[in-house]
This record gives sequence, structure tokens and C-alpha cells, in this order.
Amino acid sequence: MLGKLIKHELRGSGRTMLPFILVSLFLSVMAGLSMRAMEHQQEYSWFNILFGIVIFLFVAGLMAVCIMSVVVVINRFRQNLLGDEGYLMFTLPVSVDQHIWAKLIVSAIWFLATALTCMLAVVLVLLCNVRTFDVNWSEVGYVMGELGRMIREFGVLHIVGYCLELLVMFFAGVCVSCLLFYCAMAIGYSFANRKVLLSILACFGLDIFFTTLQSALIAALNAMPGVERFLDNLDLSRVGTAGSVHIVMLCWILYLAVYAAVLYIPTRLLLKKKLNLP
Amino acid sequence: MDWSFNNDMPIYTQLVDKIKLSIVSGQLPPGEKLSTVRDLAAEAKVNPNTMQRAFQELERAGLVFSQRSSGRYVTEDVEIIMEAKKAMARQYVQSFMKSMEQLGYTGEEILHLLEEGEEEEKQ
Amino acid sequence: MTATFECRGLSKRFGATQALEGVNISIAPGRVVGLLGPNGSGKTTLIKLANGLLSPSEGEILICGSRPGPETKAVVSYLPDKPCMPQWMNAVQLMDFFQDFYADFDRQRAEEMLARLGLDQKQKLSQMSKGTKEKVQLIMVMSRKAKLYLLDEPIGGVDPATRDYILDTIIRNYDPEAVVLISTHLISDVEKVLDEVLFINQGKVTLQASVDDIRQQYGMSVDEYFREVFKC
Repeated sequence: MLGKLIKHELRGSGRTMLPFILVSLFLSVMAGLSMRAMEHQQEYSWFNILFGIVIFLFVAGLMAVCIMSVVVVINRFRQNLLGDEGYLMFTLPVSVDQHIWAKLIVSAIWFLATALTCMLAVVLVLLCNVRTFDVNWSEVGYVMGELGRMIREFGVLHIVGYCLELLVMFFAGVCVSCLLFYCAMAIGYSFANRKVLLSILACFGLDIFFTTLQSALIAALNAMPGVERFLDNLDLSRVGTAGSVHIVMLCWILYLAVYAAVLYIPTRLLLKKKLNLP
Repeated sequence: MDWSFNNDMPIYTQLVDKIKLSIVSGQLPPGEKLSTVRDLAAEAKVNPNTMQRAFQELERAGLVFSQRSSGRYVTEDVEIIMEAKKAMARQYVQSFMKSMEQLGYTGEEILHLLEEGEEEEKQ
Repeated sequence: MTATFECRGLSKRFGATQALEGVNISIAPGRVVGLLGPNGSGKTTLIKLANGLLSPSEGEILICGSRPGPETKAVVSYLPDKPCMPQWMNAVQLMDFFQDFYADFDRQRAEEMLARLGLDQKQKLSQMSKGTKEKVQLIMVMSRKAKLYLLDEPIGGVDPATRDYILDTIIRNYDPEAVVLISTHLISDVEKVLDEVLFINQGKVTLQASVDDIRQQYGMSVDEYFREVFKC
């Protein structure tokens, strides 16, 4: 059932996201081509204005994709679960957990797609101008070779591990940001009136609460007598530099996971027990 | 068939009366196959259970019979149909007499009025 | 035999408001039941509780013996009192959606009913008239072979022709194993379609009786009887 939820969630949100992504990729090609044309333009002319407009649209398009990915995360949750469509969604034979997970996974997919779009846009601009940069292929080969050597030296397993950890970290980070919005909306929409206003207030409230909580926790840890001694005696030489990076990454993932769980529990509870459809 | 209903009687008894009328008047001839409960219910815009109950009533009266696989039929026993017809006629006469008596007519006068009415109809 | 729909001492409070109080109901399979009451009497609250969209304050609600959850939702077909289908979808997308999530969705039945309606299946819901939208939504709900159909005000605010269509659809899809619960305050229109009625007023169920019993006993239609009971 989770798979089906994800499929339909992708359909519902792709309707908004895909046009933005495609348009901004198209604009990046246009921007690249006009840059190349500019090269041969000596004097100031109407073409400069056109060039300016294309570049502006290109930047605006990328910004729009980034903004839309956040808007879609919020709007899909609000419309699909807390609005009229909620009557349909919450009477499907699926659990609240599956609903939340489907939304989180699809949000992560769109954030990833947004990041890839931005990268691809830059690559496209460069590719359009590739001749003007005068590529020195032997240099490229050298750099690639060096990179490969470094990877081998560091250990392929470590590199794969980092990539996986980064991916998990990315997903956990997406979960935290999305769940902050979800939790805020679940709170705001459980009231009878002023749902939007209360959601925004809840969002700020939650943010302030967690920032304060984190500082308080760090302060408390610092004040504990054993902690400093523990850190001083911590011997990382046995795990080496590569290992230490893993430890830091895993700790960060753990932190994000705990943060996400703390937001997940009230969100789930509110959707299950305090659902207040219009 | 006319599927309008009165408010003061159960719907199933009204259904029984309507179907009975169709049978005794020959609109549904003896041995005729009847529509399914579901179709008739949809036609009359009534609950299928109510239609079912009406048919059970008619079966008990012997006016229709059901064959396990092929459906429901009007009885082929003409005597039962005539009997039902007479019973209905008696019912109508009774209620007619009651109304006339309320108007203050006696048996003799009513008969006279009936004859008059028949004459008028002929003309 | 387990009742298809059962409430035991069911109560629901919203803050200080008592929406339902000590409701006891039991409905056997095969019945078409009207949930009748004035506006704000608790009809929608009861239906939302049966769908798990609300949680009871006290007591319990059972569908085929279990409390509302994913398992009961698989056998309950619900028509809310407002349009809830994503407006950007067309009939084909809606059928895909229902087919994906409900094992009991009979696509052929849905296609037939849509064809009888003469609807362009590629037309988006947002482009349909209000009446057509309600019909499409009803077709989706009635195309499932569910154990319990919960229809919340299916005939409120539609024209008489649509009303006839809706009632006809309910009769034609009658299933002797299933329960159809119809909430409404327009009694005269649905009366003939019902087996039983539940009168609900100010959060309390005051009567559960068969339509023909009421007519027999009081010599008046359920509609007239209702007006007498709930006289202002």
C-alpha cells in the first residue's frame, strides 16, 4: 500500500513540479546558447537586453523550482490530508504512518530532483559553451586520474560508505524539515478556526522551542563533569581519519533521526486522534 | 403500473394491492413471468426487501409462485385469481357503501343511484 | 451473526459540546437504513466516527466486529457530504485510484454506470457541473462491493432528476450482504428506499424501527411521523 500511496503522491505533486523543472532546464539551454551568441557581439544592441532577460529568466526559473519544492511539500499535506481530499485519503485502507511516510519519501524525491535540476542546469549552460572554453582533454584526463588515485588511496569502501551516509543524512534532514511543517499544520488544523494562522504560529513556536531545547541540552552536557573528561580521553587514533569522519556522520544522522522522531510522534497522534476535517 | 403511494399504509401492502390489481385485471395474465425483485424495486423506486416482502405475501395468497431457478410467475390457477378478484370487489363495495351511508343514503337509494349512473354512462 | 454496524454506549464530545451521547445501534446485513435527524443532530459525527475520521470520547463503534482502522476501511464505502475527490483528476484517473486502493472495486460496474451517464471519461472533475460531480463520486462509491456503505447527505442540494438518479443507483446496487446507511433530513424522498430508520436528535438515537412498522402503527408516513416527533 505504501508503494501505491507513493505512486499517487508522485502523480499529484508531479503535476506541479515537472513543468517547473522542464521549463527551467529549457531556460538553462536558452541561457547557455545566448551566452555563446554574446561572445561574438561587440557593440551594445537590442541583443544585450534580450540576453539580460534570458539570464534573468534562467535564474528566476531555478529559484522557482527551489521555492516550489517547498510549496509543494506544504501544500500537498495541507490539501491532500487536511483539506476536503482528506475525506478520501483518510478513509483509504492505509495507516496514518503510511500516509506520513509516503509524503516524506516523495518530498525527499522532489528535493533531490530540485538539487539535480540545479546541477544539470549549470552543466547544460557549460555544455552549450564548451567550445569557447577550449577544453584541454589531456588535463581532464590527468584530473580524472588523480581523482581515481585519491579514491583508491582513501579506500573505495569508505567512499561508498560516505555516499550512503550522505544520502541517509539528506533523507533524515528532509524528514526533519518536512515534519516541522507537518507537525505545525497538524497542530494548527486541529483547531476549528484560524487554521492557517495557527499553523504558522505553531511553526515558529516549534522552531523556537527546539532551538532553545538544543541549546539547553548542549549547556547541560557541558555542565556535566564527566563529559569533558570523556572527550579528552577519547582516542580516535585507532579508527583513523576516515573512521572519525564516519563517526561524526553517524552521530549527525542519529541526531537528525531523534529530532525527526520527536516531531513524528505528535504529528501521527494528532492526525490519528485530533483530525478535524473541514 | 402506477407506482404512487399513500402515506397512511405500509408500502409493502400497497405493493401487494397494486400487483394483485394487475393480476385480477388481466394486465398480468395467468402464467406470465414476472420481472425480478431488483428490477421491479428499481421501477417502483422502493427498497428491494420491501418488494420481496410483497411477493412473499402474494405467494402466500397463491397468486404467484416461484420456481427455484427460472424466476417468479403469475399462478395458472384461474380460480384463485377469480377468488381474489371477488374479494377485492367486495372490499371496494364495502368502502363505497360506507361512504354512501355517511352521506345519508340507504340501501334502496344507493341501488337506484347506481342504475342512474349506469344509464348516464351508456349515453 | 455479527452485526455489520454496531455502536455501544457511544459518546462524542467536542470541548463542551456533546455531539453524541450514549448511542446504541445494531444493524444486521442486508438492510438499507436511514439516519434521520434535523441539522446538527449528530448524523455526520456518527458517520465520521464510523470512518475513523474521529475517535469516540466514550464507548465504541464496531464495523463487522472491529473498531475503525485500515481493515474496516477496506470494507466501508463512504460518500462524504462534500466533494472530496481531487479536482484535477478525470474519471479514468479516479477509477485507477480506486482500483489501486480497494480490492473490492468493480471497474466494469463503474465503467457501465459512467457510460449510462454519457460522460466523457477524459473530462476533469473541475470542469464538471456540481450535479455531475456528485454523480461521479456516487458511482465510485457504489462500484465497490463493500460490506457497509455510508452515504452522508447524498441527496442534499441536488436537483430532483439527480436525486432520482442517486436513489435509483442505490436500489440497483442493492446487495443482500451489505448495509447501506443513508443520512438525510429529506425524508419523503428516501423513505420508500429504506428498510429501517434511526431517529437522531441532539446527539441521541431516539428510535430504531422499520418503515412499514411506523406506517402500520401510526397510520402515517415516516416523514409525517418525523415532523410530529421533531415539532418545534
